[in-house]
Amino acid sequence: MTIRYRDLRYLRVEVDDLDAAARFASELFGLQRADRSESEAMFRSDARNYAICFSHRRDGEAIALTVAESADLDRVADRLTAAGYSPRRLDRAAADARQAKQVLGVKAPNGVTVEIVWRPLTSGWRYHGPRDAGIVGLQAVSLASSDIAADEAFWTRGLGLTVTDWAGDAAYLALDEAHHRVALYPSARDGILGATWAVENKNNIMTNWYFLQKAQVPIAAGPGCQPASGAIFVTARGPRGLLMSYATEMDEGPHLAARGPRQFPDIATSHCAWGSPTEQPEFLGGSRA
Amino acid sequence: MIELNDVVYCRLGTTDLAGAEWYAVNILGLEVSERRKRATYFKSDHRAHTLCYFEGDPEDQTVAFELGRKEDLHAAGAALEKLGHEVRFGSREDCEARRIREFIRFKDPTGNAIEFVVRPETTGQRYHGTRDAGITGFSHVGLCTTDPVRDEMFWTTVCNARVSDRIGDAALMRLGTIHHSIALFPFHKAGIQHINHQVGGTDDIQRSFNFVRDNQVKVTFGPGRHPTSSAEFLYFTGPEGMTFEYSTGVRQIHDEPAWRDRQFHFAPKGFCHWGAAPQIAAFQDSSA
Repeated sequence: MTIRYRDLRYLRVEVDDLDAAARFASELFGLQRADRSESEAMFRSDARNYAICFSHRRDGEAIALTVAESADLDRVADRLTAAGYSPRRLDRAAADARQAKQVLGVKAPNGVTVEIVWRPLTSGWRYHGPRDAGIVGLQAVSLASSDIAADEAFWTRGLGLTVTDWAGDAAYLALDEAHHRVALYPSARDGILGATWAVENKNNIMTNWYFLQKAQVPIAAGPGCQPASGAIFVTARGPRGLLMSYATEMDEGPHLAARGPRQFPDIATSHCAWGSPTEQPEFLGGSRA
Repeated sequence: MIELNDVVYCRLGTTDLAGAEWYAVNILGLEVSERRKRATYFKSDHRAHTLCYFEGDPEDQTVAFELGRKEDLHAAGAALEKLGHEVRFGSREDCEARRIREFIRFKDPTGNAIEFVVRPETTGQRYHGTRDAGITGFSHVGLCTTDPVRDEMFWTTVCNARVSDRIGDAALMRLGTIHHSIALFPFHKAGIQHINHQVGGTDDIQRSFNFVRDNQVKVTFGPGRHPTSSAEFLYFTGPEGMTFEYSTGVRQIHDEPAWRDRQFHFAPKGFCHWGAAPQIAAFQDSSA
């Protein structure tokens, strides 16, 4: 039984200083401030009511996938249970906090909760960022895993995503026609590694790179080109080390599924074809990790 | 009117020929086409050579342009002499060394050494660089000018150059459909201000940015994108302080009568719309 996911919906990320995180996300990175409470700050990148939520509630980190119908939540729950995982429905208050009608939660081996959401909130007002960063939407999320085999099995056998390509043991996972929406990286730690935001074109990649340098934001990687997906990217280091990337020109289309997964070598140039310098261990390949 | 088809080669004096050759091959990515006594010739495209380093004064720099026919060359020589330029015809040895049929040599009003040549050699062998820099060919030169108004007049009224755009008083001029083959940058003395090679695409610009930097070569501007020509670029320093540029995606002007030259700021935003700032003397201060 295959499950059709509509999209990668949102991230919930834990931060220490909500105001500092909010300043980074909006003034520096270019996301639009949305709903805000004592313990949470939400940001928009496109038509959805929010795409990333920073929280200091200490209730764990999560990423969400959208399904089309209520019955899909049961199908995903059955599939996960059959594969040996323990999904559970979130209560009404928790679903309201996430701005979705119904939510099914399940913990991945790396400790990140995956939330399957039905009827997440869309805004009637279009996205309008505080500066012209060229952001058009949430493109992908990167996850760090200390047990890459367990996490790949969870995402493929448990949730039903497919591997588009591997770079070493890093796995790019697709849920629609985009090259990937989730990237799993072997790492010394567990959790959310970063979020990637689609921008209009490579001009935005480069103008954002110069903007971030001028603002003295640390650049973690890039400007670069990811060989497997073709995406041109630049990556900033955000709150609590969260990697916040801009990307464009990611490969997309039915030819990817038809082609099947490719194996790229476990070296740094499998993460950047341009040879941009990085010290991020997940992007150095096995020889250095 | 002297009809120039294209820019064909540069000749640069150097006090360290071996060092210049090492740089041209290993950093810039050109191919040695011929080694002669006290001179090395380099290939960047189908042409026999587009750059020559010779043992000599580093300030001895020449840029050459191609004319259509021998008759045009003689007419050009006469026209230049009439305007008061001292014109010298190249000897057979000089022609042979340059792999051209015939040429004249003179100085433009600023004092830049210029050669007008006919029938530069094209080869059947394609260019194959030692390193994969993605070079598709030598494309344009920046020339220093001590009087931009006078020199723009020379290139556009004595010769057939047309102004495509200006950055401050620096005129970017085309000979064919390529946005610019000559650019004039105000400076306090004569000389070649930069030498441009085109590369295949964005990947080549960006990979070279990291390659050049990793090899301790100073990147003086970029990676960036010119608002004028829309080309993505990278400028870096070569032997004897020469500035080299890679660029890709240069605008072509096909509708000649419809094109209107535009005036841009002589400031970083006139040179790059991504936000890079030049560390190149002639791009920083027009009154220098």
